[in-house]
This record gives sequence, C-alpha cells and structure tokens, in this order.
Amino acid sequence: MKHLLYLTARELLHRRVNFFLSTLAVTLAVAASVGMSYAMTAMGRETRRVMRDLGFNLKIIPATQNIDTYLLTGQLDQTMPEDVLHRLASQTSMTYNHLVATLRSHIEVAGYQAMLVGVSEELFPPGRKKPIMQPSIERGLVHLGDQIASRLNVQKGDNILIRKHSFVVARRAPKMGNADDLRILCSLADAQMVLGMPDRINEIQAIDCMCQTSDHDPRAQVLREVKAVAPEAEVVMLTAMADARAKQRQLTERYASIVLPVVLVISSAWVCILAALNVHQRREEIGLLRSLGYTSKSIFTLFMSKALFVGLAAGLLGFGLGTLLSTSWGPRIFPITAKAIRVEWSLLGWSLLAAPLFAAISSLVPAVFAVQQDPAMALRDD
Amino acid sequence: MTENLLQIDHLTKRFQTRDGEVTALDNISLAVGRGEFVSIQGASGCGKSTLMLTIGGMLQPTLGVVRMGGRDIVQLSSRERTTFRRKQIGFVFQMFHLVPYLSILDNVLVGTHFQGTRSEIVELLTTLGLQERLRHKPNQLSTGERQRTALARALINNPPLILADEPTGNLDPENACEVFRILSQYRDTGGTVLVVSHGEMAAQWADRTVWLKSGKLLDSPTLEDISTNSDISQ
Repeated sequence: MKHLLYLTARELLHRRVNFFLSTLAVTLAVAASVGMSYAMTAMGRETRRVMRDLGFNLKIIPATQNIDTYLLTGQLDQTMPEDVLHRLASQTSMTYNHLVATLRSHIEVAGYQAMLVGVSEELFPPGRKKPIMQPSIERGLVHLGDQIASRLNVQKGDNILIRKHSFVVARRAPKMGNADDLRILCSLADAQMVLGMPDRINEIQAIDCMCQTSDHDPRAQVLREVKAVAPEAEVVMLTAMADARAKQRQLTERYASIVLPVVLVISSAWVCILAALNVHQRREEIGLLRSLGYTSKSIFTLFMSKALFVGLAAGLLGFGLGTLLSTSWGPRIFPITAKAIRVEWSLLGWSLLAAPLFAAISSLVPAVFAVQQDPAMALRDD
Repeated sequence: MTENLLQIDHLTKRFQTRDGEVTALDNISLAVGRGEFVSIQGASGCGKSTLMLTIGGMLQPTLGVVRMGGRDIVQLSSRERTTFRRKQIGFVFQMFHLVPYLSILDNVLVGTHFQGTRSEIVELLTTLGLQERLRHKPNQLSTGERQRTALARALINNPPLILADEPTGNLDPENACEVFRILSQYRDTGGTVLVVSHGEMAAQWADRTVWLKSGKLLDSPTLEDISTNSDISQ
C-alpha cells in the first residue's frame, strides 16, 4: 500500500494539470456544500431569533376546548394534565422550544374581578437549553396588573389574600391599557392550589422555530409532533407573523436543493472525465504494472488513492473557500445574527470525510475500467 | 540434453474481429531448455508479440498448453497467473514502457514491487552503465539507456525466464549489440531468454533460432520464407 501511495504522489506531481483540475472540481463542490451549510445554519438561526423576538407563537390547549370560544374571547374553560408539559419538553426532535404552562381563571379578589394566571417555569427539550424569555415566579409571590393593584390599593411588598391564601406583591406592572391590567400572575403551583385544580393546566405556550421546510404547513408539522406525544392536546399557531419568514426560508432551501445537486453532478462528471482521461493516459503504465505482476486490486487502489489525495486536498481547500466566502458575505446577508457567523470547524471534519468519498465515487467507473482493460493491448508494440 | 523450462504444446490463439476470426497463433509447439537463449524470428504481424504475451500469461490462448517449471499457466486463475508472472518472468518491450514520472532507480524498484534494496539496484544499474543516471527521468535518457533501464527492471528479480519482445527494435546497432550482450550474460548465469525479433542480430547471439510465419512455427524455413522478411533480407 505504501508504495502505491508513493506512485500516486509521484504521478500527481508529474501530471499537475490533471491534479489541479480534479482538485478544483471537488473543491468547488465542497465549497458549495460548505457555503450552503453555513447559509442554512445562519438562516435557521436568523429565523429562530426573529421568532423569539416576536414572542410565543405556539399555543397548545386541551383538545376538548371549544376553539371558537377560545378564538373569540381568548378564554379557556377546559384543562389538561400538567404532565403534558413534561411529556412535550422531554422530546428531542421537536421544532418548538421555550415551553411555559399556564393555568388561568377568572376570580374575585376583595370583590373585584381579576384574572389569575399561574405560570410554570420555562422548560426546554433535552440539549436545547436557551436563555429564558419569561422569568418564573416564586411560590408565595404575585405580580399584579396596574388596575387590580389600584383597586386593591396595594404596592410592592404588601400582602394580599386570594381565596384565603396570603401572597406578597413582588411587582406591580405599569399600566398596559389592556386585560393585562387586571391580571394576577403567580406560580403555577400556587394557581393550582388557589383554584383547587392540582396538576392541571389549560395552556402551554411555546416558540416554534418555523424551520421545517419539508412541509408547507408548519402547524400541521407541529400538530403531528404534539399529537404523537399528547393526544389530549390541540395546537393553535400564530402563523401570520411567522409565515413570511418561514416561506422565505423554505424558498431558500428549495433553491439550495436544486442548485447544490446540480453543482455536485457537474463536479462529479468533471472528475469522472478527468479520471477517464488519466486512465487513458496511463494505459501503457497499467499494462506494464500488470506484466510486472501487480494485481487488479493494486491497479484499482492506485486510482482510488489518487482520488483520495484529490479529495483530501479539495476537502481542505473547499472548506477554506466556503468558510471564507460565508464569513465574508454572511454577515451582510444575515445582519440580525451576524456575530453568530463563525468558522464551523466541524465542517472541516465533514469536508475531509466527504470530499475523498465524493472523488472516489466519481472516479469509480474509470478505475474499474482501468482494472478491466486488456493489458496485452496496451503492451503490443507491433 | 538440458531440462526444459518452457514447454508449449499446440498453442492456438484466435481473435474475433469485425471482419471475422483471425488466427494469430496456429498450433504452435516449442520447448525451451533451462539456460537456453532462443530467438524467434518473423516479420511484423506474424504473431510474435501475441506469442510472448501468451507465454507470459498476459493473454489466454484459445487452445493449447503453456507449461513452465512443470505448471500449466493456462490453467491458473488470473490471480495465480499474476503471482506467477511476478516471480517467474521478466518482460522487456520494444517501447521500453518505463513509468514516465519515476526516476530510473524507482523504475527498477517498481519491478521489485518496492521490495528490492537500493544497493542491489544501484549495483545492477552500475553494471549496465547507468550509475550517473539514477535520478534521471526516462525522458532525460537516450533510447539505449532507456532499454538498459527496462532490462534492469526485468533482471532485478532474477527470474527464470526473460521474455524480450523486439528489445532492439528502436535501437541503433551499437545499443542493440549491448542489449544482446546483457541478455547473453544473463543466459550464462543460468537464466533462460526468449527473444522475438524481426532482425537478424538476435540470431547471432541466440543458441537457437526458430521461425514464425503467419502464426505458425516453421521447422525448416526456406530461403523464400527468410527473404519475405524484409528486415532479415537487408
């Protein structure tokens, strides 16, 4: 094997143009793949960031809930087990994240109408921990909306009684001019205790990344995911704000799914033709090696090791070129997450694995042809 | 009587072409003794190269037996023939077939499958007058030097049989003489040499000459047979 590698190295140095053109073809294929990988990663990151900044876009509610009532009034009169939250949060291949369960109900406090909202701590699927969007509330504390706080005439640090349970006002929210002014926020466990509904919730809010492209309908995708784990749940997705972003991403991925294969096919054909030319150029050499007792396997290895050299060189160069272009142009194309565009060293490993494989597959037919050609024909001098 | 190293019986090789079947070798039988230098003479296209490639296991005959050292190489598998060729036969070609991107030293090393030692290769190349050319590439050598390199590649493994196909076809008389002198020396050390040629010089160095015409061996060629070979008649 060592001597075949030596022969290959000498041949590469001798036929530099063939080596250069083969390496160039594979380099372009690798650079296109690497660049596309950077672009898709950046696009996903950008979409997720935009989605996160837009707030929760996914509501998971009990399947028994009258959806018309919910859409008309925003009210939820049905509950589901709190376990649904933990089941959903334990999944690894979901598109959503930042799960927060709530239990809410109209209540009367000191004769005033208010909305009690119990909020769980934010949960993340395994391995996808992110900075939290909504701080949890400790047990025994409440956050009051401005209107209800005024009615009850309480300030931060005061005690209030809610259905005979005492709470400390931890925060008084500024005036919002909407239903939030009548909201009393507390921990989920406290709300379950006050409302006498242990282990029940009536909504899970989450953020879906809208990064699925195989399906035109992100809600259908999430619904499939959720139903598989929690059949007692239903999904409401606020698609309008995310739709444009998702469509843009889908369009880009579809564009990539056409361009990348075309680049790969052209590069592969290019390498194949150069390998075939190389086999033709080396007909005599192949015949000679056969006459010297080199086996078919040796001849095959000779051509495959050339593909290996080409692939390794192209893997390195292609990674460098793809990374250079991505890190140069990427920040202009994805300004929101520009700082997150960094050299992805894992792509180097993939490039060094995939490029030799790509070159080997592209050179396979010529290599087989080299093995099968009649050495006697090449050696005939008459 | 010397022991036969090579025994060829009823060897026939036919090729299918667009114009029909062509018989390149027609029922050839030949015995070559160990340590013998045999010259096979014939005009271009008479089947000399086909005969050499068939003896060397590079071509499978249509019919017949090629027995060398007691083994019928026709019956060997492709892999066995490859191994057999590596150990038992050294080829020398008219066009030298040196690897263009390797130095002279490496070209000989290729013949040993990179198992040979540098010192023994240098010694052989020095014997052949190529000691100043070790690092040169084939295109930097004269034709005579190229053929001597090819000879070194064939001789380095010390094979029982050297098959030389028109080894002097591209050489001037002086270099041709040198090639035959080297082959003759190899015969003197116990090696067996089979040379096909259409020139008469080989016959001067060989122990025995046989004639090939239209794929057939001639037991006793007539003057007409010899004179039809333009090169011989020169």
